[in-house]
Amino acid sequence: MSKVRVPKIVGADVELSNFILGVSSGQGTGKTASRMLLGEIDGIESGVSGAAEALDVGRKYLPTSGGCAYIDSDHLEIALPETFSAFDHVAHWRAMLNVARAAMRRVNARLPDGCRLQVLANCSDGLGNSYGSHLNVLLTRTAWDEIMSTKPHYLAFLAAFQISSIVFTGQGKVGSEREGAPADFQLSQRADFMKTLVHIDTMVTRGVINSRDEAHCGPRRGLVQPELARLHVIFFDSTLCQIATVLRVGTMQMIVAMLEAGEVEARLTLDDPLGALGTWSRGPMLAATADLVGGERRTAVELQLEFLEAAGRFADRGGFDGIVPRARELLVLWDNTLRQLEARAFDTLSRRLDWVAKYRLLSGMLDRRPDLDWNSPVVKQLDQLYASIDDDGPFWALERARQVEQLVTEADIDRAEREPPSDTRAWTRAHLLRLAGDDRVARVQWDRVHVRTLSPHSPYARTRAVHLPVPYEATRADNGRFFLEGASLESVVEGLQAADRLPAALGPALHGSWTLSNGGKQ
Amino acid sequence: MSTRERRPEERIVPPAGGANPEPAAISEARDAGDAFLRAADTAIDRALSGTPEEFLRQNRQLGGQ
Repeated sequence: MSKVRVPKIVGADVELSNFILGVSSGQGTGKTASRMLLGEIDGIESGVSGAAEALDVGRKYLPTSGGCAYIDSDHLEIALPETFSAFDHVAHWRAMLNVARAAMRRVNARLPDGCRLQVLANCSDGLGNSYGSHLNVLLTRTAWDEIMSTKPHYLAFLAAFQISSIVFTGQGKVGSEREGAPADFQLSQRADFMKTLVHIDTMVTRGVINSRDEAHCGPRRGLVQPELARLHVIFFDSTLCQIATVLRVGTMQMIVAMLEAGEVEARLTLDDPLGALGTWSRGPMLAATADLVGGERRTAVELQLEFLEAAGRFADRGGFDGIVPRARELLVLWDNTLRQLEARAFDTLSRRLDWVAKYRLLSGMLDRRPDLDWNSPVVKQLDQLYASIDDDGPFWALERARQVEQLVTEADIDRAEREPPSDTRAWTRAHLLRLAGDDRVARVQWDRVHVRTLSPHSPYARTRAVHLPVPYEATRADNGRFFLEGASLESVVEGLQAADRLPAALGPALHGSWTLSNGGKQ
Repeated sequence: MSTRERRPEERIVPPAGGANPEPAAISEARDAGDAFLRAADTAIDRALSGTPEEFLRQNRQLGGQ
């Protein structure tokens, strides 16, 4: 393992389904619903606008967790703060759903009788429209280039992993969309919307591997070493089960870590990845097979078991040490889940995998109601409602009835709602936003915060940039010493800029400008 | 690509053979399955309201990312 490797920091940007029942509108109610929701979320406006943000409206960062919320294509989008541990990611995902749920309740309290705002954490409306639950994984620029440009078997390895992972990452859905082959039930909501193997587009020609190259790691490339990149993973469904979520995130951390180290087994790649995706998604009995490039045939579970074995060998050589936290626990969970899938132990899997829970929920209903079938509107309604974030959503009812396995505690989730992760740059972002407050934050992006500092000797406020180019730096351990009780914004910024990793020669250009102290947000 | 798949409407059933589980484990799994289905019934009753057709009409979303 001579290659440079970096901690597998993860984030997520997730679009939610939002609409208002009881309102008749030919245009749909998503636009109104998303804006009402965002209006109820407290945060500090990013102050960034422009062509790149054309679809991205009203972004506000949360001084509590360091994440943010905004509107994307008439969906409320929630973006989690960067976390290092997949387990922390689970807590922050749940915490952000709590933020959205609280906003939804406040909106509903104001709506007239007969109207109700609904918010669903799924990825398809069942009517041919999909919206994303994107996972972001940090990797070196070298690894990014190898996956996207120079080593096609790396890309094929990643695609084969993602596609076969639908056996535990799918939320499940009724029917098929977008001219997909007919199906009563599918494991994956996104499968019908994957049109090619790799593509930069996220809205029409979606690829299993998305090649959008936005690192969010500094104002320009090459300023920090090793040069960093972000793998923007658009393939997965939103998952609500905690074990499904930790596996979705943790196994991706491990696979990306293996790619970064060159630990790639080309024999595990699929002959026809998109064909395999369509077939496996339509096979809840998990018996369908697909060809590997070498001609052998595998079920999705069998292929996943081979990825697991490869990851286990890598772990035995210390491959995940310092790169993927709690990798041993993740491997045990992964192994245990695949063994249950192999045995089709659906009675127990319904406690940890969304698609199994949903399938059993709907199958149970069909058993009790012979007048219904998979095409019945009430079945499709329930398919959608599974992911309702409201208290009466079936998933939450199952969880309250202790029918869903827990990994993180309510205290963990509550803390994630109030506090940023301590071991990523989200910690400094959140604390800087708290200290500056809305009035003195000029702009915020993932990798920088511009604040206005004051001086008793000048009528001008100076807009100064704190750069956060390295997601695994600017942690509490790195910067806690600057945020002492009673410290001024000016003194904290002085300290943070002095500790900045960006080259000093570029400092004046990168670190600030002057504005009148009573000037508005830039 | 060939498919050796049962039709979904055949329902998911607990495993037969394969892992050769102990009778106690089978009984435990069945109990867990029964408890899940009871909770699922309650969840469905709580969740469903209004007419499904109206819900599905209003549910339509703008395609996102």
